[in-house]
Amino acid sequence: MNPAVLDRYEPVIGLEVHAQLSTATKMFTAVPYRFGVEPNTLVDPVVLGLPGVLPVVNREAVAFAVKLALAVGGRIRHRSRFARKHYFYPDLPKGYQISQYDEPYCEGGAVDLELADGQRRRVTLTRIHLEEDSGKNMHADAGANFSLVDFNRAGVPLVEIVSEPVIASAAEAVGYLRALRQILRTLGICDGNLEEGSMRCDANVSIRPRGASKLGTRTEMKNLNSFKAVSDAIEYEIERQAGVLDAGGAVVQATLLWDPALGQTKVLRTKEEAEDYRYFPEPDLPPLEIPQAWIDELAAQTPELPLALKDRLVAQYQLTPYDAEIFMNNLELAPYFERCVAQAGGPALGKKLANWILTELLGAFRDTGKIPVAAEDLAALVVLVEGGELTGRNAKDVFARLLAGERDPRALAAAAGLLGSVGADGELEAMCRELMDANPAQVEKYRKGKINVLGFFVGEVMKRTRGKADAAAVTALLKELLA
Amino acid sequence: MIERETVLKIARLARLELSAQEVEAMQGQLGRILSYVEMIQGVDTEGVEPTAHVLDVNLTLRPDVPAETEVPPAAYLKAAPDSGYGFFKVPRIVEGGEHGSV
Amino acid sequence: MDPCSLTAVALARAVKARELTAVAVWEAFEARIRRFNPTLNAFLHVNPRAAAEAAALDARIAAGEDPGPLAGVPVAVKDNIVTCQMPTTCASRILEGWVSPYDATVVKKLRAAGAVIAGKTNLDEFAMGGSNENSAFGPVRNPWDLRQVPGGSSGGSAAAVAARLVPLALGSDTGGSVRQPASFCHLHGLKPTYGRVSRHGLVAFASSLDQIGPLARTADDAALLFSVLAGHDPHDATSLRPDQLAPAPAPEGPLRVGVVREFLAEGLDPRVRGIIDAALANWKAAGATLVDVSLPSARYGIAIYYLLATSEASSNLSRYDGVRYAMRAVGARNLEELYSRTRGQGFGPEVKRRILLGTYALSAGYYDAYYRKAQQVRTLIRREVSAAFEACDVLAGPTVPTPPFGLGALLGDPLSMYLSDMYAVVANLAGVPALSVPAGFTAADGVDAPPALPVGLQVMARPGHEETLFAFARRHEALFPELAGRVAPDALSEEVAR
Repeated sequence: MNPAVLDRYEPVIGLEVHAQLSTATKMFTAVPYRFGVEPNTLVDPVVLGLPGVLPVVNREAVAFAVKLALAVGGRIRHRSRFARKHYFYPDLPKGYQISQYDEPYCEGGAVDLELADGQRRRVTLTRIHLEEDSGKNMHADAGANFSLVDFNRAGVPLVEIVSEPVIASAAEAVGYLRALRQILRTLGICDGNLEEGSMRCDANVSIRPRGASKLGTRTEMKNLNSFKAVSDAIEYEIERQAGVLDAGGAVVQATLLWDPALGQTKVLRTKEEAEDYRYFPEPDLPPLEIPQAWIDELAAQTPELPLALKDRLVAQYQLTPYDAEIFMNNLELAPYFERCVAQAGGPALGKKLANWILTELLGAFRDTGKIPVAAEDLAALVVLVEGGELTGRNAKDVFARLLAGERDPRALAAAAGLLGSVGADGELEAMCRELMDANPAQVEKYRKGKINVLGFFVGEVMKRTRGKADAAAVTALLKELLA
Repeated sequence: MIERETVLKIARLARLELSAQEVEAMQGQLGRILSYVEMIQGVDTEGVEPTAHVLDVNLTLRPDVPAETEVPPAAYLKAAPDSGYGFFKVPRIVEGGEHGSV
Repeated sequence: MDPCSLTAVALARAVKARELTAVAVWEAFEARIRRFNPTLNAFLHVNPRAAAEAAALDARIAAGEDPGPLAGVPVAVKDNIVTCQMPTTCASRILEGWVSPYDATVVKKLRAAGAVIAGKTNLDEFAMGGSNENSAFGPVRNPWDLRQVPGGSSGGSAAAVAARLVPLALGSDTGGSVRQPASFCHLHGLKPTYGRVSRHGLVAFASSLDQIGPLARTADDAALLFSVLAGHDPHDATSLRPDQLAPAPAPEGPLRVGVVREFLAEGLDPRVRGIIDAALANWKAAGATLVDVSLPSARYGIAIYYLLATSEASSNLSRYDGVRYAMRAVGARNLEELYSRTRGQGFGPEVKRRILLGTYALSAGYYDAYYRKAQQVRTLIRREVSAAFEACDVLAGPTVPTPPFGLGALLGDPLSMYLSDMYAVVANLAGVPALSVPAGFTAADGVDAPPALPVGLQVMARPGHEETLFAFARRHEALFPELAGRVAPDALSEEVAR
């Protein structure tokens, strides 16, 4: 994008995100949902809107939605209401979508995000509401005079998360989406897969001259099903609107469809053609009660949010922001790390434990998706090293055996005779002098400048101590004695 | 009597094809009914909560447990006016000319 | 013993005691259906498996099983309640030929109680109407006078019970659709408390008002059928759990009967007025306390009913779009035509009228003035009804302002037809139970004048107080023994059939 545009205009962006809740069954009926199965196999009379059927709300979907509300600090309405939103479209079985309108279950709240340069932003939310997904229309090849409809997705529980128009750039929009996705995944309520459509995004974009207070006319863009599409579409639209304004024109309020292949939008409908959704309270569903006791119960189950975790790891264990972010992005590792710290007796060894996890264990974790070493074993290993009972070199051997499935590092080290370090009370010096006395020729060579003979002496000492000596200390000592 | 344009507009919203004769009849009939219901405009409802559900009860929620399906899914397609390839078939949808999905 | 002259209570007892077989009972009623239905047009489908089901029931009884409280009793089901074994048309072209893959909860309950599903009865299309003339499959005639309508929308169910084609039938009542036909056909017809009977499988007309209710010739029969239908259903989120509303027993001692002033005012036919006055006088003489009661907002009942019911109907009927099931118009070139032609050809004039009215009331710019305002006035009516029950056990008045009217008499005048439900809609709007009981007949005077026509009396009670209504009905039967014995003469229905 031409950066000059941003010198003159300030973009104002709001996002509407639909997230599918990964419940076992649909929002209003006990049919399961999976992505990518045979069309029209996950259906029943309720999904297809047959005559006489009634919706019955999935308790877990409400619980998931409440967890999200708690995570973003929204105000939860103790008594919210479902409403019908009407329009005709083949993928909408009943001719209306059951959604929430003027009494959503959650209002307010915010999502914190971190941009690539480490800057923080807070995107405030207008509301979150519960609703049902539609089916999917497929368009046969260009020549065909028909379209196909699959209702597998119809009725899957959705939360629609509506942000305030407070996002200032495409990068912020993407940062917000990533942060939101991370929250959804942390809560375990949505897999956040944009390509499969379990998370979908519409963007409302307007621009105004820098310094102006009045908002410009906005357009709504649909079909943004990747982070790249979100970014490209927003930048495209900012530039397009700037072009219109620069040419003395006016932006027309419209709904646009993003075409990722062409890299441009096309008009779906303008304001004049806007639908009249005829919302009214869903008579088949009495008000949804979310009592405080239930909220408290769910709050107790709600894990720490990713960014908060990162901040805490840095503050509490003096991890580098870089290391903390690895934990933030590999969420199973964070509680493991903290269990290790607890086993090791407190945060003092935090940094050391983090190093072990991130350098030695991360690879195996990434390969298998499983944490290969018990927390108490890793803790015990690090305690042995830091207590001077096991050298770093021998610790790596023991760690390899832990990785291979063995347990109890102290027992492993003891059995291999690796415990206890040599070097105290002049023991090491005596050993070195003994070696020098036994190898006068080598001593002579060294003193004549063949300094690689040093390696011979160090190797011999390590052999005799069975690796229990600190190699660096041995080297320093020998240098001193040979000089 | 209500305007012919009004009848046509709501008929389009409701996706109801009406003959010219029907449109004319509706103008008069809907007009009479609407002028009858005008009587409620005079009722003082200041501060009165609207009734959406007649009995003051909370919503019964359902456990998130899949149920056995009683009917094989193929039966629904078989009962459809038009289907093929495992899908329900409709006349070609023109993107941009119709409403987009949620 | 002619099974068709017995009450449902007596039939079930006889079948359980093996004095009658379920097959014999069914054959007797089936013979009457074949004989009289061509004239009455009460049934749209007769259950082809009824005889087999009755035989299976007899086998269970012979094996010592308890078949349930409706053992061998044929029950007709209004054709807006879905059944797997027979089509469900709602008397509409748009659903013609559609067969539900599932049974309504009430149908399952009937089967579990040992009833034999007799068939599906005619109705006003999608239950929209008060005369049964809005049926795509022809009007139903009133067995008491074939020139009159049987009432609607449950006209087929009412005519079937009145003509003793079945002892019991299910109707649905959104704004009087069980009680008005009960009044027109000399029957007991109950609109239960909203939420006491599951709506799962009742094709929705106006979801916040619809209830399924029984039609029967006696109070005990109506109570028996209601006891089978009532109860919480997990498939209906508006169905009441026992902890939300516990059914109440009938009060001891003399009933305090509230007489609704507004129900005996302008718009009431003097013939009906005379019958209701006489009935209430008898009640007073028998020791009941009559209390003068006012429901000032009841006069807005029809106005708000037609706004709310049509709004909900416009929404509920959106699903008939020709995409997934049932009718699709031929030759549509695009999606728009597919929708508007299917719906334009599939729905009859009254349904179209109501869809348009409801769409209008919900549309942008009108919602607050119509839908929301109507909901607020509904609140006022609820409050007034609730307050009225502080001084009395039941609220009484005529069910309908007129006796049955002639076929075709109100067809061109939808508004007058709507006003037929002006007393009945109050119970739907307030969610309270209401029962129409036979109250008398108009005088048959002169050779060319119509024969005596039935008139009903409506009683309403507090939510959950259906037992109070049945207690009222039983005492009413005892007070008017000559009414209880009166049945529609067969001769009439046979006349036109020839």
